[in-house]
Amino acid sequence: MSLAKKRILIAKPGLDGHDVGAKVVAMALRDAGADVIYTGLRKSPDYIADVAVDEGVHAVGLSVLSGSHLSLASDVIAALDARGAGDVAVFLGGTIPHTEHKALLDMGIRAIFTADETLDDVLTRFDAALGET
Amino acid sequence: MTGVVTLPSGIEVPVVARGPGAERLGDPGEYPFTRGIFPDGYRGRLWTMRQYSGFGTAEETNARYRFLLDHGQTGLSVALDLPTQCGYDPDHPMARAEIGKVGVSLFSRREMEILFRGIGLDAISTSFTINGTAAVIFAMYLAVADRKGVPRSALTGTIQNDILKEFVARGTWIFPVQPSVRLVADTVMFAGEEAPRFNAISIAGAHVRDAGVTAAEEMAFTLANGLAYVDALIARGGDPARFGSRLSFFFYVHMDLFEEVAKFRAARRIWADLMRTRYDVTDPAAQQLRFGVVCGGSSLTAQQPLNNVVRVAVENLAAVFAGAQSIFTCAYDEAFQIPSEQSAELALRTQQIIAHESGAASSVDPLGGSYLVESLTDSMEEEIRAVMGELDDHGGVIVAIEDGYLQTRVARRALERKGQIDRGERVVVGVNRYADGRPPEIGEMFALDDGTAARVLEKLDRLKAARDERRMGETLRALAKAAEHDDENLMPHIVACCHADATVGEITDVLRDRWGEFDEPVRF
Amino acid sequence: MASTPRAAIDRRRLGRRLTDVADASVRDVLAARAGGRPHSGSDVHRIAVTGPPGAGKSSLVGAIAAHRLGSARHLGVLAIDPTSPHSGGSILGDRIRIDGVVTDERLYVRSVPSRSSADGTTDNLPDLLAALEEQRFDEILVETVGVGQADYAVRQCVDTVVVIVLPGSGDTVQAMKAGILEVGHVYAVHKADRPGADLLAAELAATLDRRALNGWIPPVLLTSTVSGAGVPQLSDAIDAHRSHLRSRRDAGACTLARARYDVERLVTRRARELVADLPPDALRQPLRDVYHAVVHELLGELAVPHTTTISEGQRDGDCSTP
Repeated sequence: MSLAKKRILIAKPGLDGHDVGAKVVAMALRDAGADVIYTGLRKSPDYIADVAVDEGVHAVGLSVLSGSHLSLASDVIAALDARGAGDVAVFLGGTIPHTEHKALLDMGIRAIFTADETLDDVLTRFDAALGET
Repeated sequence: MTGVVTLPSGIEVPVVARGPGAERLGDPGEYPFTRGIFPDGYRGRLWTMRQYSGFGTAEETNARYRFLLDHGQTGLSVALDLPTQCGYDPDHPMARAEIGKVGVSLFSRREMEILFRGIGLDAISTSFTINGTAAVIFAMYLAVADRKGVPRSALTGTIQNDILKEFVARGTWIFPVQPSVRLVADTVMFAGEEAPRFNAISIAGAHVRDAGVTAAEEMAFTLANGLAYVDALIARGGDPARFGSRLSFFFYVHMDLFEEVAKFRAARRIWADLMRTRYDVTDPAAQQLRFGVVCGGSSLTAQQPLNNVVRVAVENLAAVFAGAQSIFTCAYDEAFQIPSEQSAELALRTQQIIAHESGAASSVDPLGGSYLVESLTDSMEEEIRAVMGELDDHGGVIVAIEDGYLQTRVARRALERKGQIDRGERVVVGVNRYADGRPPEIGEMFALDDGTAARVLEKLDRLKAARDERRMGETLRALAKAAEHDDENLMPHIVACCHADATVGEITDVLRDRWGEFDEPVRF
Repeated sequence: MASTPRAAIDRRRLGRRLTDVADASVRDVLAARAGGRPHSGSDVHRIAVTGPPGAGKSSLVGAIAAHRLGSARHLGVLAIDPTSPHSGGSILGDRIRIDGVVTDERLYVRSVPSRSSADGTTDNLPDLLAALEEQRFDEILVETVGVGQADYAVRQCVDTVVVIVLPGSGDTVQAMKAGILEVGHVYAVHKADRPGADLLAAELAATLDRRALNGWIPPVLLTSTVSGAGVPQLSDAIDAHRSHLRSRRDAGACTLARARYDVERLVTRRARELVADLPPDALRQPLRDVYHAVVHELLGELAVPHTTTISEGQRDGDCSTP
């Protein structure tokens, strides 16, 4: 499994300030061969979509630990669609209740990650989803 | 401290057990406080048992507080929502999705008033987990006390007000590093004069530890931050002999019991030494490292959640052996949902059982003199000092934050730790050993009510309609003017803004205009 | 709620195109270029910003871009970050810094990893620049990796090279590698609030004064993105160099140099790949045999036999020879 030449944007939408998980995933993706852009904290869905488009990324990984993932994920997906980038795979990591998984997947989120997964699991799921595009 | 305590079997043991080398070690309450800051440990006074709460609107949180106080909690801990923490009003575009989710929305002094309805401000000690906007929240609190006729000198509690760790591990920074530190200093100096029983800073290692650094790094980064604040306060005319006793700290307790006990004992020794040698502080109260702790955090798992009850109990035990002044025990389901009332109660009972049944609090520093703990304390001291030296070599914490060195170090350590857990090198029962294969069920972690945002926004509208805009604007302008001078304490102006019903966002914007925003150095 | 996407450039298409161009193998490039000639650039002005790691290149690039957006219609930025030699992946951190400084509809920022390039640039750089120039940007800024020495290679494919130097302990002109003093057309002593900045700038200016080539003395400026000082002057210096090039440069020599660069990059990259793939047995053969094996593989890249004869030609200068 290799993520070579995959361009992935790891983003922190909203006000959540816990970035270590996002950084760990970014580094793991880099170590698996991907080219990663990490946005830093406090980015708006519009900004995230703008960067995703300009950088021609294959996937966007959102990290939200503040509970606001439903609206933020929805806004990012809408922003990507508005820019003609609806084919970019969107992933979500954070404190996501299992009762909300279905709604998120229906919304267009490709996969949901939580802290208990191993990094290998995360990479495998990225790889699988990106292989489908 | 002499005296004995009689154990359940009738045997008497000393309150402070001593053996060979005890004199070199020092007694509890005696410089360098390795064995604790109180000669009588917990026998004089038990640690404060704090539990967090706060979500949604001020009304909802007020109800929750009154419940907890009725059930034996001895202090209040206020969690605030992200817009409040980041200095955005609820109607700011970045705020909309986050209103009332991780804590209560306190966008104005009136909300603070509602929060404390039916609760005597001078009867209860209140701790606010607030940093970027600590000055504003503290000002609101003071304004409410003023209006209720409660003397400021009667107020007890804490504001976390530790902006340096925000840049590294928690992310609710607002302004660049230097002006942020200035604001911290202003708040501490002001509290020292106006509300001397209120701890205006709680220097935290908990968050960076939760992010993944080692015990020694946790202490080193935090003590280094502490020194940076001391320097800032001295630069603003403060006297460490006076403000030293108002500084308090806040750490995590993790699972290796002996490491944790040793790290606290070492930290007390180091801090006392630093205060004495660096700042010529001789007053013991100003040399002492006072700290609260969290038991839980990232050591908890969503898999096999009842395991967490044991983890928290072990960590609670370590905290008591280490002599913590206040202890917060996480509920066992805190890792994956809003704690149920039952689990929150159990967390409190854990402390009470350890306090009253286990005997851990009967003697002072009961592990003192243990071959293991004493040598581990010495090693921890060495390690902590070595890391502090590395920070010094880098130019100090402020430089290390501005250029991203600390943040990068934390992230790399986190990657390392995750790898260790993934590979099973670091055992986590129920996760990488004795796992049952069942995926954990993450529940709702934050406030669910979708109506909260609308209610808060409506309250914001009503506030703006009801207040005297002209007078409010004047207070903002006065603050702006004061902020042009680096040596003027901004707190009186911020308090005036709160009295005039200025919002968190409005006050913060004045300072944003002056200082700009922190430019996050994203490095790997 | 999503706002309306920015107008002007079709960013989605450009974004995808650049991904294809950046990822292209040598074989892909040859196929894509078919009967076309080696890239020799266009009249779009190309500005490289180079300097050591930690110099604050990205912030300065952002500041330069912000300033020049006043006069340029559209500006493209190519930010090159290092590829990890171990994993082949990368973290592309420049653009976030640039975004922190400037946001503008007429600005397009693209991050690329250096891939197999070890000279501060990236694979397929000529093609990336060509792709950007198809979009009719008025100017292209290229931020090189900054490997701690002069990224001399970039000089061959841009018009103006801005070199950032940092004041710091022990940084004197004598301590600088000779290459740094030869690669730049404009020098910026950055983080000018630091001690030693004025002294370094003066020393640099004195040294460069003696190195004037064809009438161009590289100016030395003091810049700071904290205060914004020096950026307008830096921008003016870039303009001045552009004017100078127009009046002085031998366009033919520049074209040839770029074409040469284009070919050399492709050949060396492919040759490097082939050598890296040689099985251990092959490396135990006599050197001449190994060499021929590699050359034979290189020829295999082409669908049709080559027809051009490579012969000794006139020595030409590089693009930036004033």
